[in-house]
Amino acid sequence: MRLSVCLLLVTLALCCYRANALACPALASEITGFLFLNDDLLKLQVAKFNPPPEALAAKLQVKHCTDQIPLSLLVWWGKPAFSPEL
Amino acid sequence: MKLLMVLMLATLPLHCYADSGCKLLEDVVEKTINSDISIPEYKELLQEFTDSEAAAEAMGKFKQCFLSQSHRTLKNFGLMMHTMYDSIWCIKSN
Repeated sequence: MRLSVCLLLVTLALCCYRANALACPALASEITGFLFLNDDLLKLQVAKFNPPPEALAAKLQVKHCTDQIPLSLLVWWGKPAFSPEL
Repeated sequence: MKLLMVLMLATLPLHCYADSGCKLLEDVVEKTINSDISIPEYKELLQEFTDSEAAAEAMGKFKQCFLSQSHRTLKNFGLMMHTMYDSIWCIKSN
């Protein structure tokens, strides 16, 4: 799909922390999974977060739409996301 | 492309230096979910992440996927994101 969307979101995720915490790689992995994994694998990946069923269902519903975005359109999106300023 | 992704991930910073780092991701997610933000507005708000028409088009399609969802679905999608933010996997104890 979705390489540059993935790269953008992962970049943002790896810059995410709460209080003085370090980045949350689990969130970065989940974002990658949202873009690249099929539904079953994504469910396995997010199981550790113990999400409410309706929350997971909503994520999968949106994913079915984003899965339709052609990779060729998204390949350039991630390039500026790797700016050192981030 | 997957190898490229792995290589890029390996060079990414693993932490941020200011509060804006954490807030940045949450803000982007919020803007993506927020149905009051149109596609043109979304593109403008995130223009620093796009440097081509193709990238902007992709961003628009991504946003459209959220705009086409019901309020309930968007609310639950937000719940999913906050579930992850607030999980033990994303909170580091000092």
